[in-house]
Amino acid sequence: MLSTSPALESLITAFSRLPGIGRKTAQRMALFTLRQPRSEVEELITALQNVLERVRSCSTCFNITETDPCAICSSSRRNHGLVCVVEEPNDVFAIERTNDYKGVYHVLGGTLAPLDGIGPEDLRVRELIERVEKGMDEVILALNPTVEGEATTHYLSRLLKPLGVRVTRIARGIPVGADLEFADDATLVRALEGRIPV
Amino acid sequence: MVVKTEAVVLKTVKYGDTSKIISVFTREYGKLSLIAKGARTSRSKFVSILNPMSCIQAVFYLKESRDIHLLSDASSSRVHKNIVGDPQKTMTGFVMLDALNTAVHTRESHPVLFDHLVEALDGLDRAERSPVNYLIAFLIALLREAGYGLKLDACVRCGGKLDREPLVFESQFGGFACGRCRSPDTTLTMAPNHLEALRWLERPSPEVWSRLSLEPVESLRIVHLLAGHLCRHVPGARRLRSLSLLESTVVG
Repeated sequence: MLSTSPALESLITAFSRLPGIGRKTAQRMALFTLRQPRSEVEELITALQNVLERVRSCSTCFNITETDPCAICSSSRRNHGLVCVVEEPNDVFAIERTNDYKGVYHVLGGTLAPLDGIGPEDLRVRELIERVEKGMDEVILALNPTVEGEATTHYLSRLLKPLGVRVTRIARGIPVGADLEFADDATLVRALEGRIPV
Repeated sequence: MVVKTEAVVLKTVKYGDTSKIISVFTREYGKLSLIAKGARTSRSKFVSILNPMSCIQAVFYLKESRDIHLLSDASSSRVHKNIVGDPQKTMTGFVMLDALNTAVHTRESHPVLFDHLVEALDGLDRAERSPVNYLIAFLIALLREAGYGLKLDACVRCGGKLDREPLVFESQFGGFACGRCRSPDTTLTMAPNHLEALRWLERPSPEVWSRLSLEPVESLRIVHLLAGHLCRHVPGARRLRSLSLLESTVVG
């Protein structure tokens, strides 16, 4: 069903492009926006404009930033010899939440996905190699433990090891606070394989 | 209608914040898409199960009017722990999935093909050498089930013995032509050991597949031949995009 206002219709179409938003939800969001005080809608418009104009990708690590290089890459408090390779900027946020990691990052932009035709040339692999060649002590591969993530981890480790850098990966296993009896077989196998001396 | 069936996960796509849409090839209902709500959170019972190449017992709500069905339960039916962790096996498995994904259409039930896929994945998991052999054997079976099986016993033109080199693969006839019959402009010449390899891997006995020893380059040449034949004949089939990654893994 078409709305009676082309402007509202175009807003519904724009909202429905958001991930996980269907047309019905988009319609509710558009009507909600319409009912808001003008100041709040203007705030939303400004926020969107700011994101569009200011936010870009860091030319070093490819994380989301407003300054280039980003705050992490330009920080003198960070260990620039330690790089953590992640799939997406979301993963940088997750690791930064721990307040424990003091190295820098490299956002790969995804993983190898053979069925979708995504190969190394579609990811920021070449840029990672260039960074490592300039001098790095350790590369931590922190990709998701999916089949595609594992394939990418193996692919990268094969490329990086000949460069003389230490290549490590994050551990896989039982989440903190979880019960062993509810862990699935694959996770338990990996947890046993990755056991460490105490 | 709630249904329970064996399935192999072909591919997964992130959906929303925590969900996944998975494409599966099921034994009874063919290829279809399922939504697994919350499957990406660490608390989900699906979190380690719904990955490409996983063999699962899936329970879902099958609605004729929908393209995506709701997955309500899944458990691992076979564990292939040696595939993930071995880059060559992983890429080989991906090419199997890619070939199947492009050759079958949605909701086209094919239990025999399903069994071939599971058999090939089982063999790939156990293989101590020559993992690509399992891919070649699977592609031969896939072509046969799609109605484009290879003719390997005699020359496709004269029906005579394939004893004179150079042998030429003639895709339009689905087999090899002998040195006497080949068209002068054909370039797809194959060595006699390629034909022998195809005959060996055509045998329905997975335990003998790994006994065949082929150079990686030769294995890949046979895979390319079969993939090209698949793309040429099977309606809707496209070029296998996963092949280049297998190539870089196998040859380096």
